[in-house]
Order: sequence, then C-alpha cells, then structure tokens
Amino acid sequence: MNPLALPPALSPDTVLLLRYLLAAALLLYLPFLGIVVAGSAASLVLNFFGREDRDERSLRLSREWIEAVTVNRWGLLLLGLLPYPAIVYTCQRFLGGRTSLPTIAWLAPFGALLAGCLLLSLYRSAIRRSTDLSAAPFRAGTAGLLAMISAAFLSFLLVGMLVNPAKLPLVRSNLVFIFSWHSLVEFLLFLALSFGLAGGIVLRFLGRSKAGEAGGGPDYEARVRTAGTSFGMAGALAAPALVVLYLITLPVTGLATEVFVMAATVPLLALAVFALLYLLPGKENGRPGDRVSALFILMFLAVILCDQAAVGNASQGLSAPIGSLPASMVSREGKTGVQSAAADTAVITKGQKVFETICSACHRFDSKVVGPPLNDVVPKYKGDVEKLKKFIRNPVKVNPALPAMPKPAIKEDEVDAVARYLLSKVKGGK
Amino acid sequence: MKKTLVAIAVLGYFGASVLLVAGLGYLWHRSDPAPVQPIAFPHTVHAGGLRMACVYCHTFVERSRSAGAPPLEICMGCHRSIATDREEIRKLTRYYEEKRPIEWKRVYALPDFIYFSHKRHVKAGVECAMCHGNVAGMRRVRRVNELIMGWCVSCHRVRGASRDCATCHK
Repeated sequence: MNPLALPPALSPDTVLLLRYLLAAALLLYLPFLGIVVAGSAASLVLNFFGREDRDERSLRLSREWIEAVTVNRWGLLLLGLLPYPAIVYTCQRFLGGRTSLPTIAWLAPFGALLAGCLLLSLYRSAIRRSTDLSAAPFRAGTAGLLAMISAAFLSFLLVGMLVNPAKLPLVRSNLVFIFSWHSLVEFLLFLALSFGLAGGIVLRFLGRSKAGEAGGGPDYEARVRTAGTSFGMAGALAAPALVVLYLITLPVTGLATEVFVMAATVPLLALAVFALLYLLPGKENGRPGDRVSALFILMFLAVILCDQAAVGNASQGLSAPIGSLPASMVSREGKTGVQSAAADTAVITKGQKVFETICSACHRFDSKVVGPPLNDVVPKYKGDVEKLKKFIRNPVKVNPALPAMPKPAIKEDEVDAVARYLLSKVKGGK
Repeated sequence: MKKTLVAIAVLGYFGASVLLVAGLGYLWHRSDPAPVQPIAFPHTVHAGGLRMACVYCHTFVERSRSAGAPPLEICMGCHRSIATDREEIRKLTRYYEEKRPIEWKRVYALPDFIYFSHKRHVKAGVECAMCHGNVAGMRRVRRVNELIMGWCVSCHRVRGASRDCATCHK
C-alpha cells in the first residue's frame, strides 16, 4: 500500500452525515465521561483524606459523589461504551477505511474505557458497603480513574486526526506522531468543562441530608456547596484560556468562521457561570446547580460544534479528489491499458496518455460528458484509421444537439497514436 | 471591596479572552485563504464533474518549477464553442479578445529564499491533492496548507527525500 495514499473521496452528503453522527456521539460520550472522571477523582481524593482525618463528612460526600456520577453498573457500561463505536466508525470513514490506522489506535481507548468502567464499578460497590475502604478497592478506583482519563486522552488524539488528515501518512509510519498539541489542549478543555459540570451536578443533586443521619446536617450541606462551587468556578475560569489556546493550536486547515463564532460563545457561557456562582449567590439563588449544569452542557455543545466545523473544513480540503491524480501518471504506470495484441503497444500507450490528458476532458467511452460517448461514435471509423485521424485533426460539427468539437492542440504523431488507441479500445473497432 | 476587585479582574479576564478569540478570527480572515478571483473559475465543474486531469490546464507542472496558470488559449480551445452564453465565459472571451492576461489572485506563495519545483514533486509521484487538497471539490480555491517548514520536512522524512538544508534553501 502506498504510505502516502490519501483518504478516499467522500461525497459532501456523506461528510455532513458523518459529522452529525460524530457530533451526536461526542455529545453523549464526552459529558458523561467527563462527569465520571471528575466525580470519581473527587470521590477518591475525599475518601483518601477522609480516612486520614477520620472525617465523616468527607467520607459521606465521597460515597454520594461516586454514586451520583456512575448511575449504576449497567448505566455506566451502556453510556460509557455505546457511543464509542460510532466515534471509531466516523474516524475510520474520514480517514479512509479499516487500514487507515493500526488497529491498536482504535482498540486501546476502548480497552481502557472498558477496564475503567469495570474498576470504577468495583470501587463503587465497595464504597456502598462501607466508606472505610481497605487498600484494594481504593487502588481499583484509582486505576479505573486513570484508565478513564487515558481512554479520554487517546480518543482525543484519534478525533484530533480528523482536523489534520494530512498527518495520516506520518502516523501510519510511526504511531508516536498521533500526538498533537491541539489534542492535548482539547483534552485539557474537556477536563475543565468536566469538572465544571460535575460541580453543577453536585450542587443540584447532593447535600440533601435527612435529619439525624450520620455526617449530615447544615455543616455537610455547606461542605457540599463549597465543593460544587469551587469545581464550577475552576471549570468556568479555565475554559476561556483553553479555548484561546485551542484556536491557536488548531491546524489552519480546520479554521472556518463557524469555528471562531462557536469558540467565542464559550467565554460568554463561562461568564454566566461565574455570575451565577460568584456575583449572585443570593438567598433566592440558593441552588444554582441546574443552571450551572445546563451552562456547562452548552459549553460542551459549543466546543463539539466548533470541532465539527473544523473537521468539516479540514475534510473538505484534504480528502482525495476524484480527478486530481494526473491521468498521465496513471497511464505511465500502465494500470488502465487495454492493449490489443495486434497493434503496436508503445503507440497505443502513448495514445492513451494523450487521451487521458486531452480528450478525456470532454469524452468518456460509456457516457456523454461534453461530447458524445465514444462507444457510440468511434465504431463508425472501424477499419479506417485515416478517416478518424482526419476528423481529429479537423473536427466538424456532426450532432446538432452538441457543441462543435474544438480543434485539439496535438502534434501529428499524437493524432495517430490517439486514433489507434481509440480504435483498439472500442468494441468493434480496429 | 475585595469582592468587587475580584469581580472586575475576572470580568476583565473573560472580556480579554473574547477579544483574543475575535482577534484571532480577524487575523485568519485577513490572511484571506480563499481570495475572490477575477473570473469565478469553478474547479468543481472541470476537475470535479468533468474529471479533467490537472495537467490539461496546468501544463507546466510536469516540466517546470511552477505549475502555471493556463494560457487563455487553453480555455478558449473549448470555450470558443462550449457554454459561450454564460456570463463568466463572456468575461473570459473579452480578456482573450483584448489580449489582456487575467490577473489571478495568488493562493499559495512561498518566500523568495525557498527553492521549490513542482516538476520534482510530480515526477516523484506526489499527488496534487497532498498539498493542494481536494481542489475538485472547491467552488473557489482555498489555501489548505500554510507551507511551513515542519510540514515540508515531515513529508520528506516519510518519503526518504533529501533533508539537506540546501535542498530548499538555495
């Protein structure tokens, strides 16, 4: 296989459809994965320090947090794994089929995702039995978190290939080249939005204690509010800077007006989060969780659409076109030569080259383009190459429904070659 | 008081990032990746629909440093009789009759200190689309590569082409 082969051409409709599919899959996958990553990270940290300090409130928050983010075992597997095949499918189509990248590039994130889901559900069931964890489930949880984070990072590298398909030959030669600063920045942006979203979820769902429960009470509620607010604020503050970096690192091929418009909405949405959490924490505004979560989901949407615009633009620029390969190069390799045993092969090959660079602009053998299909008009010159040469040298209008054939700018030996080529190629010719 | 200061600082930060995004957008817009050409030549029709070979018009690409914009004779070869009623073709015919060259806007430009030859690359089997993208799908040709050195070198590395400084910096 030619290591420099470009992805095959996709029709604009296919590109659009694939872009929608990718956007939908990412919109399911990324926020969910983000919540799981941020929530389990917070849960693990709280559990660790909670056990050190014997702090009942931290331990309780740690349990509630992991319970909230991982839905239940089946929900975790379903939502965490299901969108991934759609993402891989679109990447494969964009990058040109099964052979576009080594299988490991597709399988590694999936394996990490699966391992992460299983390990985190182990941690979850352990913490539900008792918050005072032994070392093993805690390690399982940490490993699960790391697996999830690496799965996310690897998927970002994969999706990042779509905005720079020109890099594909390099990546095929050495998988290390799949790393790009753009993907790293995008991954950091994902983490920022994830932590923000997790903050919103915490503010919305957690900290509602029943009276008399261990570790509950107003103290606990205040604790939850602080945690949620700081997560939300951290996400809101990090996002604008990362969006600017995202634009700087995005390959120029991907840039389009939509990209900038979408990118500009992120700082504005982040500003709204900041306003909710810092400027207006009034009494009537006690539970901003809903709005903060919604704003972060919108930021996810904006970034995903921004990336989709970039992918659309990049794939328009660099998918291999139908007619770009110089036909003369194809003929030089002799790939399409149908050669008559009787005729002089060299002349016919030369004729084919002339045909492919000059005549094929208007003529096909089997269909009408600008001129008529050659399978219809060449057979009448059967056995009379001179008559065909005379027409090629000095074309006259034959069919009133078609424009007159212009006089081609080719030399006498080329006229001869192309006439012989045509007669050898057409059924009933010669 | 402290809260107001923090709020002002953070608002400034948000404002600055919006301005930066807008600034980057303006810079990109100003670099004009798809200039409006004097004649709206559709590559989509010629290279796309008709599947004409690139070398049909860019005749010098196989034998010269520059691919060359086609001389008007090549356009007129067909357009003397084809689609003569279209506005853009009438414009083309006027250029041809007045013997004026069409001042195409440059889409790709290399600095003076770079030696680049189309001939070398075509002979080595580099497809046009490797650098120019899917021109057949572009209604108006758009720059799809910024021709930066790292990009050149990475391809030279993969194909085992020369990476001597003097290959390109003559």
